[in-house]
Amino acid sequence: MSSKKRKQKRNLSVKSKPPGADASVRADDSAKTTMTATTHSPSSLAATWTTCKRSVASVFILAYLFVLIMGPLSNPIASQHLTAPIASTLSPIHRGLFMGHGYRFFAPNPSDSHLVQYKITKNDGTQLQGAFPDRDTIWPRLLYHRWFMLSETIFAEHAQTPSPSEFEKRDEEKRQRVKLLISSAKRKLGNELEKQRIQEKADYEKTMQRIKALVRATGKFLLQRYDGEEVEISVVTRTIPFPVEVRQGADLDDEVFLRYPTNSVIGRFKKSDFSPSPSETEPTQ
Amino acid sequence: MSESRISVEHSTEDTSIRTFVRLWADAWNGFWFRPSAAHTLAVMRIMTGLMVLYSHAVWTLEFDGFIGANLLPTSYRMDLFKTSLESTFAWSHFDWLPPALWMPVHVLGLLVVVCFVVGWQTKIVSWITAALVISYAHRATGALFGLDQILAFLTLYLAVSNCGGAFSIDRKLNRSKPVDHQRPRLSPWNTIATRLIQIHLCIVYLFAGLGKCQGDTWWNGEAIWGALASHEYQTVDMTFLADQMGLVAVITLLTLFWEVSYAALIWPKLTRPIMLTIAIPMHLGIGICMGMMTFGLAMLIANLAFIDPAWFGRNLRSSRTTATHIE
Repeated sequence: MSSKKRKQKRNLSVKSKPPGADASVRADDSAKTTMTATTHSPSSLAATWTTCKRSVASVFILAYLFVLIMGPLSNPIASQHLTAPIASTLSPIHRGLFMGHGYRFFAPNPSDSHLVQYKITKNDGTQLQGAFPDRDTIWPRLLYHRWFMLSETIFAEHAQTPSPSEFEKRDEEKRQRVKLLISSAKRKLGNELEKQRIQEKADYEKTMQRIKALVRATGKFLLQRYDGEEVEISVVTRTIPFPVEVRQGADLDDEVFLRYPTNSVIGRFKKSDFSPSPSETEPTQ
Repeated sequence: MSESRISVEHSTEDTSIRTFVRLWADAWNGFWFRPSAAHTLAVMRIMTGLMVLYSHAVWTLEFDGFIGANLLPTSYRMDLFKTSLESTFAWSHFDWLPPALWMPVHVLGLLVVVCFVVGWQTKIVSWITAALVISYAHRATGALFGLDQILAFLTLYLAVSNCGGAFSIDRKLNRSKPVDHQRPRLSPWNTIATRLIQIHLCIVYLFAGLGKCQGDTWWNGEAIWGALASHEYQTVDMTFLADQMGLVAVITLLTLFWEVSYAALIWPKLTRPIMLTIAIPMHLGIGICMGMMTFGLAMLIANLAFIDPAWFGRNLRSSRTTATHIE
């Protein structure tokens, strides 16, 4: 559009102003500078909010910004002497408003991805194998990504939690240390360590229950979906290939990039485990 | 004489301190409370609403699994949080309803989000939309990613604003009332919401960048390769970049620098267009190559907060009447 035409159009707009439009146009000009201006005449504020209202709002804003910044300052890593206790106090707000995230996207490094594989045995003895996320069967992509995040969650829960035997070993070591401290007249330190040991054990048991609940729910869901009799669930890691491997012709989905952890099977369930009167069969860890 | 000099010095000092404080107070007030138009926020409302609508519509496809809690049992969700207090506040309206009502309420929720998009009863539906986004996120803990975090804060801040003040049914209905024309439609709430989005976005990028600073691959220039060569993320085959690792290093370091410096360079007029321009290929790249178009678009929507409402007001006029009636 030529500048002449543009000018004509602008004139036309001005002519067709409705009553009161002048105020709006001024408002528009004011808005134009609003997002960039840092200072302004106090008189322009007087027309909007009173000093008292602005003061109250300022206090709320400052408090909110403090709550906001404490999220990434305490998640995923927090100082036990500063940010952790503050974040703990603020956790109801963080939870209630779904805040408190760490925002460490693809950090510190883009990591390997993790799959959940399942082997389902049907009533007639036939076996069905699958995995999620499966980009060939799950559509749309957002749904695929939900399944992907679920597999990552299941893996992370397992990877971050030691096996019961490992935990027992560590727990026993701590117990011996406590005994030693108490017998060598360092009773106070020993008692403190014992308190910590008991807390850690309680936390571990809680975590194991949580993981079992998650894997069990996955098993039940898969059995129902595929009308299976038995299901075995395992986790697999797919590593990221080096550029040189790709240059030599490797595909990203080559089996060679799959890694099976030591305890890759995380659960085995039968249909009867989920019957109305369940005989609580614990999944294999 | 010396007494009077001291007194003059004191008074000069007092004045300068007072001036300094007043300047800061004025700057603060201007930054947060100077009334602004709703156009940018209205555009963000429409786009965020469409994204929420899509996201929640997709939940429908696996409703029993993710929202019906078959895959993510309530016991898991409650145990996940460190204390019972936290789990209490990780609320979801589905927890308070019988299962028979879950699907009808879900459909009702989708309708509310449609109202949010078109801007009908915006003041009410925007708060409900924000509550829905948070509620679904709490319900589907374990299947979430960045998209949910971004949508949560966008909807929350949009609810604070008068985002229905432009490009909305509310606006059209209000225009028919003659008295309404007499009032300028600028609101400090728009400014507060815009500033909160801007600051929240700066925090997101800053911590995303700082987190990356801890990783070797972001320094040796291979991180982008790691992202593009992940089979689970890949949607477009970018493995030809294995022969162009120099280019990969440039993109990696540029991404790192951009994220770390965003919080500082997005504010000056001189660098803002550059930062916003880089955001487009970066987020679209994530969307197209890594299959996270929803996340990429959500980040771009959040970046719109740095665009002047007057720009949208000028460029998105739908009719001659609105052309002269920008609030």
